[in-house]
Amino acid sequence: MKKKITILFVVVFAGIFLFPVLLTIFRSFVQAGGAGGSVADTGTLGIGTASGSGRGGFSLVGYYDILVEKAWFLQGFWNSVFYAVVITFFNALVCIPAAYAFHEADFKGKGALYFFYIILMMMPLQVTMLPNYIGLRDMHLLDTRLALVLPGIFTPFGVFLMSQYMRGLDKSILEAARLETKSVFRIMLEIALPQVKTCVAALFLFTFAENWNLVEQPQIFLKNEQKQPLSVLLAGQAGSMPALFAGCVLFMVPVVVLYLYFHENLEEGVGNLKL
Amino acid sequence: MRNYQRKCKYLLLPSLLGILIFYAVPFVRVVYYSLIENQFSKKWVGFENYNTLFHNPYFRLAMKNSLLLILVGVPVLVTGAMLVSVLFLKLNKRLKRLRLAFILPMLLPTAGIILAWRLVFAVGESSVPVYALFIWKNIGIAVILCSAAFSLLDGELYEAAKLDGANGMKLHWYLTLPLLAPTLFFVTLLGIVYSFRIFRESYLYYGSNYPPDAGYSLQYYMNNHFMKLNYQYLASGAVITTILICVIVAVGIRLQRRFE
Amino acid sequence: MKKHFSLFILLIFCMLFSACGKEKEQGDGGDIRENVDGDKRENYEDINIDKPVSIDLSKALLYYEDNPASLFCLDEDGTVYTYDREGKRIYEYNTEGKCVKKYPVEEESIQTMCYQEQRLYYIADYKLYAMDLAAGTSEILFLFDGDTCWFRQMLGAGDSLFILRKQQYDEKLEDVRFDEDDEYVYEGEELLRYSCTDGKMEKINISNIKQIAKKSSKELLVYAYDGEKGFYFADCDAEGKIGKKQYTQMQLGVVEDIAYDSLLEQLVCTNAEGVFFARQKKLSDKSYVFTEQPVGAATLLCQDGFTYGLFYLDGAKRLIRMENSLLTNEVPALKAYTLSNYYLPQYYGYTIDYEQVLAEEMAMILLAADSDYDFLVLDSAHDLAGNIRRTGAYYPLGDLAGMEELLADCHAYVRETATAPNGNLWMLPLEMECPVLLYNEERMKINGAEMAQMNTYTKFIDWVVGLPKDDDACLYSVPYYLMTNDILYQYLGNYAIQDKKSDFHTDVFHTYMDIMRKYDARVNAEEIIFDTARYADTTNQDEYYSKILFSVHRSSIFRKEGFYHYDEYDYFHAAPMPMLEEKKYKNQAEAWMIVVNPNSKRLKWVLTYLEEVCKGIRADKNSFMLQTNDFGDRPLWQEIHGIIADAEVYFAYPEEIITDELYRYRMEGQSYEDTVNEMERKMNMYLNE
Repeated sequence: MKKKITILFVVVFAGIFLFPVLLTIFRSFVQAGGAGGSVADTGTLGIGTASGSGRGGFSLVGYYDILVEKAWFLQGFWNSVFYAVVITFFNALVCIPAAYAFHEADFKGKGALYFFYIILMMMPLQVTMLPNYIGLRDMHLLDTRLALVLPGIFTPFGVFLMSQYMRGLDKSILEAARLETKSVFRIMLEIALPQVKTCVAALFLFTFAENWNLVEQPQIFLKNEQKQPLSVLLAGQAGSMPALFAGCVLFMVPVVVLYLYFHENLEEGVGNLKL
Repeated sequence: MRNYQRKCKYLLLPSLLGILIFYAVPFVRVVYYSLIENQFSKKWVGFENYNTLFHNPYFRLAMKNSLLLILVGVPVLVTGAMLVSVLFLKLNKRLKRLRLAFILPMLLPTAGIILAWRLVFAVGESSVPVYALFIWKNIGIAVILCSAAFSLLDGELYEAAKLDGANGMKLHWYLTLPLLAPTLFFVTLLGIVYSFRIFRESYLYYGSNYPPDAGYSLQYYMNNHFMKLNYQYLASGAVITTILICVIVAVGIRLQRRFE
Repeated sequence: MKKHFSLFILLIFCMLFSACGKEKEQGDGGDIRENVDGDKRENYEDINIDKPVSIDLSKALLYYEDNPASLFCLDEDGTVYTYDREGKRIYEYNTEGKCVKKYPVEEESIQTMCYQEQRLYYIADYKLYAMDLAAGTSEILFLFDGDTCWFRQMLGAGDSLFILRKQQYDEKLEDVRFDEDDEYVYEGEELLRYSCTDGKMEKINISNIKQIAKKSSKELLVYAYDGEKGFYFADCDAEGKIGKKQYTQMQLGVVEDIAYDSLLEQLVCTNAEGVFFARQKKLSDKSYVFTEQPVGAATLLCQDGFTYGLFYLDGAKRLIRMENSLLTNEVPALKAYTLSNYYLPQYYGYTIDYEQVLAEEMAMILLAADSDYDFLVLDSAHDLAGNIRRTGAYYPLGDLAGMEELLADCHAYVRETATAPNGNLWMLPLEMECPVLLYNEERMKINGAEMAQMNTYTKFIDWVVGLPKDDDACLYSVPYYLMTNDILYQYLGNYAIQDKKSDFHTDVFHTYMDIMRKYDARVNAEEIIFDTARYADTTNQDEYYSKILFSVHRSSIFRKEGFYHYDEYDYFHAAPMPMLEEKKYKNQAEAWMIVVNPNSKRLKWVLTYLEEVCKGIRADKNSFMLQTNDFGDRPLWQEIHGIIADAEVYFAYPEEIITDELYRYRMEGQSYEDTVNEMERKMNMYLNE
C-alpha cells in the first residue's frame, strides 16, 4: 500500500512538474482558429482568450500547417540538424585531445590555464557578443554558417567536461601503453578513449542539446533567414496557433529520442566523475 | 618521456587557438571597451565607468538580483537535485525511468514554457517565477549527475564505516559528502552557467525591457545600455561580473580541495 | 532491440525533414519576418517616387541626320544603315552621322536586318535576303516556314547569321515556370542559325530564349529562361554552341532589349524606366543614363564603346549614338540602412541600396563600427536617433558644402535640432512633419463650432464625442496613433520630465487619461467611429470632400501630389493639433534625417551625394521645412507651412515605456493608478540606469 501511494505521489508530482510540456503537447493537437494574443510579445497577452481557444476538438491541423504550409519549418529543421551535428562532431574532435592534454601534460601555468577555461566557460553571452560580431565581420564570416559553427566548436565547456572525466583514467595502463608505442594519438584513441567512452556520449548529448537550442547567436550573426535554425524561427513566431505548438513538439522530438537512446550510457559514464 | 609530454601539449593547440580567437580576445576587447568613454569618441577614461556603475542604483539592483540567483538559486537547485536523487534511489528500477521526465524542461523551446508560466504565475513584483523557472528548467541535468554519482557509492565503504561506529549525520558528513564533492562542484558550476542563461526565458516572461525590480538582472541592465549605445557600461558590467565569477569559482575550488 | 529501433526512427525522421528542407532552400522561405512597423503607421504610398535623374547627355550623344527610319543595323567600321519603310529606302550614314548614300529597296516589310561581311542581310515576307549594296541586287537565300511569327532580331557572328524568331508555338514549353512571380512570358521563341558558307539553316538547341546581343565579331551573348532557376546569360559562338549558364537570380528584372559593350564589359539594357548600364557580376546595380524609350524592339546595338539606338525624341524617331564611357557612372553604389521605409530621400542620379533593419540590428551596426554602409535614414520617433545624437555616433557635417546655406534656409528650430550638445552638426534634415487638423470651416459653423475655440484636447474631444453619428452628413477622421502620439509628445516635452525623474501623477495627465477613457467608451459602444472618412463612398470626389467635417493627417502626405485633394476646395483650412492646457506650446514635429557613418568606406562619395541633397532640398519650392516657398496661391498649404514653422522636434522615448502601458489602459482595462505607476517606474528606470 505504501508503495502504491509513493508511486501515485511520484506520478502526480511528475505530472505537475511537466505541466508546461503537457500543455504544449495538448495545444498542438487543438483545432485552429480563435488564436489568442501573442505569447512572446510585450505583455499584451489576453490569457483568457488564449486558453479559451484551446476548447476546439482534437485535430492534426497544427501539424499539417507547420509541415506543409509553412515552408520555413523544414528549412529551419534542416539548419538545426546541420548546426547541431557539425558542431557536436567537431567539438568532440577538439575537446577530447585538449582534455587528454590537460590530464597528461605537465607544464607551467597548467592550473592557471585550466582556471582560465572555467572562467571563459561561465561568461554570459552578452559579454562577448559585440567583439565576436566585430571579429566575425572582419573575418568575413558574418551571415555564413561558419559564424555559428566556429564559436560553437571551440567552446570551453567540452574541455572542462571531458577533463573532469579523464581524471578517472587508470594511470598505470597509460604508462604501460607508453612503453609500447610512441604515438600519442594511438594511446589516446585506443586506450584512453574506450575508458571514457560513455563520457564522450555524455559530451555528445550535452553539446547537441545546447546547439539545438541556439537563439541569440543566430539572431545576431545571421541575417539571411534561409540559414536560421529552427530554434530562432520558432521563437520569432507571434500568436499561439496550434501550428506553433506543433512546431515545438516536433522540435523536441529528436533531442528527446537521443536522450532516451543514450540515457543508460549517460548514467554509467557520468557517474565515473572523479577528482 | 619529454617527447611524450611535448606531443601531449600539441594536442591542446586546436582548442587553445579557438579559445583565443573566439573567447579570450573578445574578452580583452571588452575590457578595453570598458575603459573608454564611448564606442565613438574612444576617449580614455580609465575606471570612471566602473565608478559610475557602482554609484548607479539600478546597477546595484541588477547586481543584487543576479548574485542572489547564484547564491540562493544555485544551492537550492543543487540541494533539490540531491533530494530528488535520494528519493529515486529508494524506488524500483521502473520508476527510475521517470527521472527522464526531469530532462524535458531543458529541451522544451521557450514558446511553450512562457505560456504555461504566465498561466500559473501572474507577472508581478515577486521573484518567485524566475527562481521557479531556473530550478524547473535545470534540475534535470543536476538530477542525472547526482543520481549517477549516488549510484556509484560503494556499499562496502558504508558497511565499513558503520562498523567503525559512524552513523546518521556523521556518516553522511564524513563519507558521502567528500565522495560527492566533485560532482557537487561540477553541478554548482553548471548551475552558475545556467543562471546566466535564464535571461532568455525571463525576458520573454516579463515581456519587457524594464521588468519589475525583482526580475531586473544584470543582463537587462546590459541589454538596455546596448540599445542606448552606451556600450562602455555594458563592458564594465561584464568585467565586474567576470571578476565576481572568478572569486566564486576560486572559493569553490578551495572548498573542494578541503573535502579531499 | 527497442533502443536501436527508436534511433532508427529518429534517423528516418531527420533525413525526411532534411530532404524536404533542402529542397526549399533555393526557393522562398515563406514570409517569416513581419512588417516592422506593423499597423501602427498609416500605410500611405511611399513618398520617394523619384526616378534617377538623367545625366547631362549633351557631350555623350551624337544625333544622326534626321531621316525617316524604322530600324537600323551596323557595319563593323561604324557605318550605320537604316531602313525607311515608307520610302522603301536604305540610308547609309558615316561615323559623323551624315547620310552619304541612299539605296532603293523593293520590299516594304523588312522586319530585321544586319550587315555582315560586305553584304546586307534582311528578312521580309518570311524570306531571308542578301543584298549587295553597291550592285543594288538582292537574292533570296532562304524561305521560312510558317506564317505567324515575327523576326525580332538578326545578328551576325563569324560566318553565321543568328535569327531570333518568336511565336512559333510549342505547347510543351508553354508552362515552363521557375517562379510564379518572375514575369516570364512565353512567346514561342526560337534561335536559328544560318550559315553563309553552306546556306543551311538550323535551329539552335536553346529554349525560352529572350534576347541576343553581339559580344564580339565571333560571339553572341544570349539571355534566356529555364524552368529550373530562371533567367540566365550564356555565350554563343559562331557555330551555335551555347556555353555555361550564368543565372541572374532575377536581379535584372524585366528588360526589353539588351546590348553588350565588350570594352567596358557592361550590359546596356532598356526597361520601362529607360536605358541603364549594369555589370553581369552585379546586375542589381543599375546605373540609369537615359529615361527615353527606344522605338521598337531590338533596337540597341553596341560596338566599340558606343551604343546606337533609335529613340522617340521630341515626337520624332531619331537615331542616336551614345559614347558609353562618358555615361557609365564611376560612382559606386551607396548603401543605407533605415528603420522604416516610409520616407526616403531622392536619389539625385545616385544608385542607393536601402535596407530596412530592426533597432537592435542598427544598434549593433553602430557599435561595431561597420564600414560597409554609408548612411542611415532616421526619424526622431525612434529613440535610437536621440541616442545617436547623444553619443556621437555620426560624422559631423559642419564642413559639408551647402549645409550652412540649407540650415539658414530652414526654420530656426531645424538648426537647433541638427546641432548636438557638443556643437557638431550631426544630421542633415530631410523633412519636418506635424500632424495637422484639416477642417471644413463652413461645416464647422453648421455644427455650431469654431476651430479657434477647440484649442484644448478637453474641448476638442468633448466636441467630437458629441458629434452626430450620421456619417452621411459629416465625415471625420482622428487616427488613434497620431492623436495619442501628439498628446504624449506634448506632455513629455513640457511636463513630464524634470531632472531625470518622471511625473505622470499630474492633473494634466489625469485629465487626458479621463478624456481618452470617455472617448474610448463611446468608440467601443459604436456611438462614434473615429475614422468615418475612410469608410465613406469616395466615387464622387466633390461630394466626398464636401462632406468632410475634419480630418487629422500627417503633413508629409501632402507632398505626394494628387494623393489628397483638400487643396482643391477653398473651404478647407488647417489648424495645429489642440494643446493639453489653455497655454500654447510649440507644435510637436517629427524630423526625418540622414546621419552619415563616420567609418564609411565611401565617405567621399556620400558627401558628394549629400551636397546634391542639400542643393535639391533648397531648390524645392514645395518644402514645408524651408522658410520660403511657392505656396502663394494655395492658402491651405500656406497654413500647413505655418504650423510646421511654429514647431519643435521631439525625440521619442522607447515605445514600450509609455505607449504600451497606455494601450493596456485603454484596451485592456488596466487601472489609472497602475498605469501611471508603471509608466513612472519604467521611465525612471530608463532615465537613470
